[in-house]
Amino acid sequence: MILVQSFLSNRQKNKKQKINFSVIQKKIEIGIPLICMILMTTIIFIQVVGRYLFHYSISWSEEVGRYLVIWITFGGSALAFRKGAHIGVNALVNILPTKIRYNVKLFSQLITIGFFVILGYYGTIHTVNQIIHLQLGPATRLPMAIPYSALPIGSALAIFYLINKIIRDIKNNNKESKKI
Amino acid sequence: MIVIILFGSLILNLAIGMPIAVAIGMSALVSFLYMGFPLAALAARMFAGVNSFTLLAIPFFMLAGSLMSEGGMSKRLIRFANAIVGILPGGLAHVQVLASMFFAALSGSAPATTAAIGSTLIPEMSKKGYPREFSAAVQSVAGTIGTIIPPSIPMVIFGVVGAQSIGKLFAAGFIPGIIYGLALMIIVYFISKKRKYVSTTEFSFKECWFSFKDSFWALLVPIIILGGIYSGIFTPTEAGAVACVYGLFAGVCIYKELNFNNLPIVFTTAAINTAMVLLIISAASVFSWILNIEGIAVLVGNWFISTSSGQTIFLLLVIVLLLFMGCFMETVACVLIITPILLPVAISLGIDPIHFGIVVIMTLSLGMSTPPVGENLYIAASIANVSFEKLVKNIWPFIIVAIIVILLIAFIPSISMFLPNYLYR
Repeated sequence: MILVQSFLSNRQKNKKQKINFSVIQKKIEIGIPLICMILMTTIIFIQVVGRYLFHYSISWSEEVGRYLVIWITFGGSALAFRKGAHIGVNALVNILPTKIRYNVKLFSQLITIGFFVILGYYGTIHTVNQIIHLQLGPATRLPMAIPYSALPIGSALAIFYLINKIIRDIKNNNKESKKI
Repeated sequence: MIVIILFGSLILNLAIGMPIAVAIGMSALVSFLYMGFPLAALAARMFAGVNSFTLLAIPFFMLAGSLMSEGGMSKRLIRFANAIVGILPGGLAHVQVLASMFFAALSGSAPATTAAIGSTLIPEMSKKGYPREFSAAVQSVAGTIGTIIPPSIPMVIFGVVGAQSIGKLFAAGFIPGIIYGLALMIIVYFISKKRKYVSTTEFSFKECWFSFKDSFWALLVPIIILGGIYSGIFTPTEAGAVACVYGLFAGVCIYKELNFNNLPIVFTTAAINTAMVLLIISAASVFSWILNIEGIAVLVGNWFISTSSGQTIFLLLVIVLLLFMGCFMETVACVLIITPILLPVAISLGIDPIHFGIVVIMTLSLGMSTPPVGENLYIAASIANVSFEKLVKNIWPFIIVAIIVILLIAFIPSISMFLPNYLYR
């Protein structure tokens, strides 16, 4: 419920900062998890109904399901970064005086970006390897590059939102310090 | 040395407020660098950690939970619970517990249960004169029942990591969940009597019957899910998909509260919540892989075997350890890291793995409402608009009761094992 509310308020906020997020970006960030959710529910439900009522099983449902889980993990967490939904331990940081707190937060955000840079870099290498060797999934015959590409794409989106957030934080901080 | 680096960097990362998933992943990365493993293996491990069909149950039960709470089921369940227990002293606090128990049978996540029931009841309670910190405290503990009564996301993860039957785990969680709820209602009763919270509702069979009829479609969900699993029509993972379609159907066609305006939001919210949990799983699977590859898991396991001479001491040690870990870490990450280490020890001591799983999950769920880190506490505090510290002061009686219940269930295995033994003869 809270998430829904924060999501709504975020949505309204976004209308104001149209300069920062183009319409296409918005569609990608919401589209990936949304399509994954709808697809996985539909496929698995059809699988259950088909098996129970018509004694017909879809051979590729399990594999597609796994790929969708991977996509929702990395594609969706980028969106979660944008919403600031990832949980962390703030109890200790909040004790610190404002100025140090700001720097610590900035530092932890930079490390988070670093983590996704590394993940994205090696994810790209894996994806490229899958393309070069033309690995195919056993049941679907889909290129394995499709699930693997979730790593670089998800990381890139996460980095994008994190940088955006840092810029916003710095701007806010400057405004506050000017007031004082 | 590697232990110090692994856990040291984890604690440091958590302390500076990094997102939990990244904190775990980063500590694994630092250890990879120290051990000289190629970092490409880190990305591959994170990929492999979520490349599992059973994990589909997590998005499904997240989605089912948000479809059902947005679709009007939680409101109706609250009304039904109010008709049953509303007349007791501290009536609405009892309603919180009972409605959380009902909703736990639809949802597999404790924060989702806390949010679904709390967002309706806590504002209502403050209108009726209950102190906000009291209702928030009741809700944050009652919300943990969400992961004990099936379906349950931590149980799915325990089943995946420990290679145990998820169906059996689901069955085993049922009775402990009910006992947990009843125990909470008893302490709520005594506190309410002492502080003179009176009930304003009057009991009527008519209201009971009408609210039952109105919430009938919601009460049918656990019967469909569990009935389908135990009759072998679908697996626990597929049960999630069935629950989603049922929730969508009921929300659109029967209760008519879902439409094209709020559906995308429901789906996206579920996707975000899922992604958060799955990213933690992905990172924690690398962490747990390092524990195994470096032999730390075996070391800890051997220490447990050598110190605990019997089942009793072992279970006590595990409960203390998990209560401590649960205070600082995310439930899902704890299940992933703890299970491969402790489950073999438990089995070697003759403890049933299913019973052990229930004890682990109950103890770790309680961690969600213990300070300093507890998702339920954050959610309840923000709904009730009270400070975290005020809420924490009010939560101790409930935590003590919860620990007593956990000990009871840990040392009387037949409580949790009755249903699975009966269903899987």
